[in-house]
Amino acid sequence: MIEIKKLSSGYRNDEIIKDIDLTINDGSLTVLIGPNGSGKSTLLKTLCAQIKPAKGDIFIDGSDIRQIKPVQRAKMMSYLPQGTPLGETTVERYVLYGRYPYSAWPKNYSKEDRIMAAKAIERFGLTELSAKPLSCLSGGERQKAALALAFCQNSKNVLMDEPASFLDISAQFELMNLLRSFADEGKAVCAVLHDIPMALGFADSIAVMEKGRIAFFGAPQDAVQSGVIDKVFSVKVECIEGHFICRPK
Amino acid sequence: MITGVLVLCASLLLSISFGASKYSIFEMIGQAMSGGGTAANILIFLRLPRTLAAALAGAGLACAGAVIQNVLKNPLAGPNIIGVNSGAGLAAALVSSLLPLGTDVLPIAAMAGALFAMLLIYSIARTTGASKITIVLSGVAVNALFNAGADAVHTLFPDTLIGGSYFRIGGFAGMEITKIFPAGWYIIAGILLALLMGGELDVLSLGEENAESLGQRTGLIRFIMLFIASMMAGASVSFAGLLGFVGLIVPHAIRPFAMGSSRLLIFSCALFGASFVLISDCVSRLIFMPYEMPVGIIMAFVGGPFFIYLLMRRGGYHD
Repeated sequence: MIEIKKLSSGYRNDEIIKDIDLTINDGSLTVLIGPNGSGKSTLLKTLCAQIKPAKGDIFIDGSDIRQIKPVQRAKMMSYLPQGTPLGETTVERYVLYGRYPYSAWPKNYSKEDRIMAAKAIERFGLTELSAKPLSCLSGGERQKAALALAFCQNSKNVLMDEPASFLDISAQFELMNLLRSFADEGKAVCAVLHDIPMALGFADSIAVMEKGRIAFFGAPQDAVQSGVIDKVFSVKVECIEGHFICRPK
Repeated sequence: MITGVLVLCASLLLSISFGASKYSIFEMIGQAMSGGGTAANILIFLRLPRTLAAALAGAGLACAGAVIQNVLKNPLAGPNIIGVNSGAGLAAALVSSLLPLGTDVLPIAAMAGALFAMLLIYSIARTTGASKITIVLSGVAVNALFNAGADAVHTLFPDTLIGGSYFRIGGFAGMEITKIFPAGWYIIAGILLALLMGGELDVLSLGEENAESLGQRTGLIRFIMLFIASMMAGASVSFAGLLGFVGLIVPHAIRPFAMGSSRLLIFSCALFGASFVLISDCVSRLIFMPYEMPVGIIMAFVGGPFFIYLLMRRGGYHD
């Protein structure tokens, strides 16, 4: 569980997010939506301690993030930044890096680590690709490899920044189902998405960000009924026979 | 890896066997075993130091290149491209002109110069966004600055050994064991440390955000890796001069076969970097026999076209 209390943060003297109060519960999928520049990525980077908060507190599973050492934090929370992994690294080796926080220096991975990585690869349907370099994979396959790494990291809290970008529609649905399954296993999952109907259709909770603040936090249906999405994005969101659609105003 | 060991063994044998004098390797070893002679002296005082110097410098520069490229996530960031070698060269030229008898401090000064250049490039890249092209362009500027510094030192102190054209091109003529060590120990220590840190380098290569999310203290690890790279590059430059290309093309050629393993990459770079310089040095000795060309010229003739070939084969690099 991630608890955020009166959090403000940004870059140097520029405060991007202000007075954020939010709780991402275990076993739930929370989706952050908001226009470009509303502070979604800054919020995620602050949550995983890559940006120091200017004010406020963050608690991960009840512990103040400032008191948690980086390796311990990595065991509690995984963060997948924007973009998919690239390079000559094979899928097998890349997923194994998820065991980095658990392996002793000089980082020779144990048999158990390799078994965990193999399980993660199998779960995300990458077994046949495990010996291939990441650069030979499609965008969707690379995103799955990133999810497999997060799975291998075995943390209770998962943060993802725009995981669906550059994926075709079927890969996006597959990704959302995988995020859903993370949440169903008891993890606290928080993802930034741009596709509003997709976010509303899969999330347990929606956080709408506007100009660095949380404009709404609650169930998807309530977000639509409150009209906050319409106002923030200048669109018209409707729910027709259980499916959300988004039209220009 | 086995290929690398075989190629290195063959290169070492080649380097010891061939030179301006026509003694066979068996004659040289035979004389050395039976108490001495001209052939034995050639082996002990000329061929062995030269072979050792070429192998160590090649391994050191190639491994430095591999580490720098991984840390900066930039395949174009060779130690000669981004000014690390010229930083080492300037520091070595300064020390040799101001402290002509201080040969022991020469490798330390070269390593400090390399580290200074490395940190300068890194801080420029950090400030400006660390794009591939920024790093290379910053390197061009830093290279020009340090080379001008070395030229100024050479103009003001023309009698110093370091800073002259032979040093600028790089070569192993007249190499003595006293010139190679202690710098050679620093290269060996650097390679061993880089291998030991390979697991950290693997994760750092994923990018800062990914590495931090896995719990790595990226600032500390990056500094340690750049320090190790500067140690290898600076120590190599201190006795071999500003050898170009080996730190760029060897890691570049090997990377696709290392499958993302930094340890395999560094170990292979040590083997093939040493072999590349040894073979180039043999060619430099034999091509216009009895005259000798600085090995840096041969390496540039081989390395330049080979690098263009690699770039074309991979369709260039995009920022």
